[in-house]
Amino acid sequence: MNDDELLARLRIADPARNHAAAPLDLDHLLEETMTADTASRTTISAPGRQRHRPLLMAAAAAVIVAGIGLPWAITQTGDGNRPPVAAVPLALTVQQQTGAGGVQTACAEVDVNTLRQYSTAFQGTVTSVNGDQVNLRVDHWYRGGNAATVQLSDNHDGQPEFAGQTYETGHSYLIYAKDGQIPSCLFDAEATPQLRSLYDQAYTG
Amino acid sequence: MESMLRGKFAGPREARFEALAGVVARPLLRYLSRRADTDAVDDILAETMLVLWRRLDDVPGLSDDAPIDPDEVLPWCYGVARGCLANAQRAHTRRLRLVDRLTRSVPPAGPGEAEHPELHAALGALPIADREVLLLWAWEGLAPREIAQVTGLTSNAVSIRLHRAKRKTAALLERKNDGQPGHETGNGRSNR
Repeated sequence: MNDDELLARLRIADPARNHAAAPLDLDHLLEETMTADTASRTTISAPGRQRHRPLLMAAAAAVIVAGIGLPWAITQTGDGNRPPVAAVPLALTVQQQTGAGGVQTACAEVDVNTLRQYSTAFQGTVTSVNGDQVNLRVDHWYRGGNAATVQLSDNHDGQPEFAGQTYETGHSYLIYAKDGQIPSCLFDAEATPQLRSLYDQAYTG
Repeated sequence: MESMLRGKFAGPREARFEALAGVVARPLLRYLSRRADTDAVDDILAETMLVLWRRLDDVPGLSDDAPIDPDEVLPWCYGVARGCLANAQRAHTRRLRLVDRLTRSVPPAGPGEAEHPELHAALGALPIADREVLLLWAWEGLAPREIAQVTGLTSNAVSIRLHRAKRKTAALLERKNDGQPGHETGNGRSNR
């Protein structure tokens, strides 16, 4: 069987070819997309309101490191002095998705407004990956923490991939979280200059 | 509806997105319907479009004046759809695991599997990444360089995987054609 024959064989089995082309209402899709975005942006700027993101799982976030939860919230104001470093690692898990709205917003590209809603943000370098757990050394805290290390765990999934991002030892990542949870769809967390400048914009000044 | 849409979203960014959607929405719909359950496709497509709308400035090959070349923009957009699909599948797997614990149910077949069991058995015998590369080549009609853009692999790695996947699938299908009944997909291993 040569390449052409194989290609023909595979194309016959193409599900999109065999089932009549699914209808696509492009105008509806466009309107839905831009309206959904406008709606969510409006909600962001309204103080005191949350997006549809199921972040109110705060109560369930028993994950927050016992004992050092409060200091993070306070140390943020110290600009010139580095906050004292906590020896206990900060534990974060991946936010579990509930409901369709959550999936949509969680997967969208991160922007300054989104970042500002998160109470924890840092750059860290992966020191080890053990199954469901990634350990990072914190290189820089942007907001909300003073731990020297962070432990990410994904107890929902059991995959070596967390929130759409694969973590490799020795690589640096920019991570944001809230209530002890990182968003369930944290794409492209690798610390690139672009992403770093986004974090700079969001958390400084 | 049409006039309302034009009136409501009349800006250069909106126009650019509309032009992009006109080029990529159908290929993305086909991409997703090949890989996701029918009832999930619309949601994942909507999510993909939302990501594209927000990342409009990052889409390679998209400029204000020149017409859009599908070959330039599609691989990147497939990459976004791929991420949204993976995310939806992870969420789905979690739910299934819960249901499975309760009912011990057998997972349903993927799109089109029932109609071409021998081919899907051969595809099922491939490592996941090899299968993905093979299907992007066959169904989306992408070249190795474009597949690399979708998957984040290097072109070299794609070429190697593609070659291996073609050889193995062809061998498995030929073996079936030679009259071996059943679904012993493990038989193809000697071919590596």
